[in-house]
Amino acid sequence: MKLIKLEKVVKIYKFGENEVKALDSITVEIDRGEFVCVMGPSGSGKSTFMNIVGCLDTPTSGKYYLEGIDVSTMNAEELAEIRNKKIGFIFQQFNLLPRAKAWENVELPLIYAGINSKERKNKALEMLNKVGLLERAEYFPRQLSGGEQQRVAIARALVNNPSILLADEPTGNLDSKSSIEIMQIFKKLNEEEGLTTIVVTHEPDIAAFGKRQIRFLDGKIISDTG
Amino acid sequence: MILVTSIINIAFRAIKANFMRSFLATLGIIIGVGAVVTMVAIGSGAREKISSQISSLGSNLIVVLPGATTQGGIRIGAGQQTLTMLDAEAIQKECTNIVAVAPAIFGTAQVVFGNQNWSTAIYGTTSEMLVVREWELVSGRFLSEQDIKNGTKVAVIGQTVSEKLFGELDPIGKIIRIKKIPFEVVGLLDKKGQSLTGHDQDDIIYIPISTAQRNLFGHILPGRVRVIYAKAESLESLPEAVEQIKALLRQRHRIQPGQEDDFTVMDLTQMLKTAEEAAKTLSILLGTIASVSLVVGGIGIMNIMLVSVTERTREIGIRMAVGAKPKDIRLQFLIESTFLTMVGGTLGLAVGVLASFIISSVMDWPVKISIFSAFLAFGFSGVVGVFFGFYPAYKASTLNPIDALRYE
Repeated sequence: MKLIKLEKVVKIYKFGENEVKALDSITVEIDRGEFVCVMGPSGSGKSTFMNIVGCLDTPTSGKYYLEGIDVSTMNAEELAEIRNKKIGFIFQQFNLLPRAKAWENVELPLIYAGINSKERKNKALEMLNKVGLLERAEYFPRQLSGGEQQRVAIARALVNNPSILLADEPTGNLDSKSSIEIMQIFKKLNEEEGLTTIVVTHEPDIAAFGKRQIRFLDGKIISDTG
Repeated sequence: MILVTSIINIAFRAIKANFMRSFLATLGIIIGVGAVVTMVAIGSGAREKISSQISSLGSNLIVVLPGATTQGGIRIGAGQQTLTMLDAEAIQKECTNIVAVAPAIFGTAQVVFGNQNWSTAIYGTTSEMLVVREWELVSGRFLSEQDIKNGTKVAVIGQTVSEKLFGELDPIGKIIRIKKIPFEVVGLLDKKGQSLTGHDQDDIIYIPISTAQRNLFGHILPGRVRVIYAKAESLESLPEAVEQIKALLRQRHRIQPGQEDDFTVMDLTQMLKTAEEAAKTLSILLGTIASVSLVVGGIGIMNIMLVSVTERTREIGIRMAVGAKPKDIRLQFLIESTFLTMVGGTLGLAVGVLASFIISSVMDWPVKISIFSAFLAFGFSGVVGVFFGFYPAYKASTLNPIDALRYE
């Protein structure tokens, strides 16, 4: 059983009278332990692909099986639970809560998993240690550099032990040194822990970190090295 | 299942982060609850005052006065002496709804004890008066049947008289002079306070009606009385008792049909009960008006919550991305708004109590803060929080996580 299986997934956005076909009958499978880089120009449908894989959105038609479970027809409550338990998100904008300390940001998924506060803090600190930021645990996001903020975001994505790590342009707001640091963390997680990782990017040198590259254009997959 | 304590913590932190704004939003609730508590306290105070006047008057009291009333209600021919002792006895005997009757004659006289003197109301009456007026004795005894029959020179005095003549001394057994005639003080009445018209009910001396007629108020014809007090069985039977007395007196005074009464029957308790009802209405009215400000306060909370939801769209998106369910988001904002209104309710209660005491002392108006109104205001503010918090919370929970994450 494949970890991710998309069958003829179509996503259509409606803007008044106009319809935009963001995804045009995508069929793709991703196995456990893969490191996939998704590439393509803006508007090619790669972000829509990520949103659907990340259970932030549901397809207009077609099927999406995550660990063999059909998630394409789930409601908002069910999708939230899938996101909480199976998916770890990393964003271009880091998306940390500005008024929460580093460890408080990391424990966020655990709050919605119903874990008690003591266990939450322990796990959060453990994850910060993993990304090398234990000594920054009490810092607020604004006191951290871009690279550090993204590492906090990675700790947050990992804290609830997800099946998939999804990163949408994770290096888009970082200098090249930090970018490489971040990508090396992904690589290490993939190689040492077998964590399935999907990274969306438009930078070829970033995409080179992946073992498999998928290219999007006009809502279709035009090439897939896997 | 997400832990509620965690959500409370989140909500609490959000309030702390926007302290000034949260406080200003809460101010509306503080004023609203404060107004409700104060207004209800004023209304309840008015009712309390009227209730105490009813009990000081003697409940179910009927007063029969000589002379007719005009249509405007003004008594004319007050000097006429149309009521008699026999009328009083007849009311006692024949009116089934009357439990006690006390006729009286009265006037004002100078009273002297030692070097003290005091001008007060002297009532000549019967032993029934104590029952009719529902008055208690502090010490000694009231006028007895024997006193009435024999015309003994004994007096039962009110608190004010005792204070003016005797000061700290025990008045029982002392001899006072009323119009130079010596009377022995045999009883001291309990304090009753002011009447409805504001005169001091404790400024009074009761003596046997026979003694009063013979020795003090000789101008009143023997057997004539100036007032008859009667006590009806119950409040419900009051109107009927009044009719019975009227019918009986018309018959005894041989008043032809169509002719005017030569007496007036007043039913004070009923009047006061009406006043009490009016006070109750006033209380409800004030409470209702004050509630409007509470609703306005609630709208203020809703407004601030809506701003808060918009402002924190991105935060909501992040929470949703990491697994917050719509109901978790809803709960977070509901707890926030309810917390704001509950804090407002508590502070408002304090403000209301304070305002009530200030009004009570500055304007000399009786106020009564009931536990009930306090709980009502507090509970209501909680309901306002949920009610006006629901729409913003609902709006937050239905945000699309993708759009929310992109929101700048």
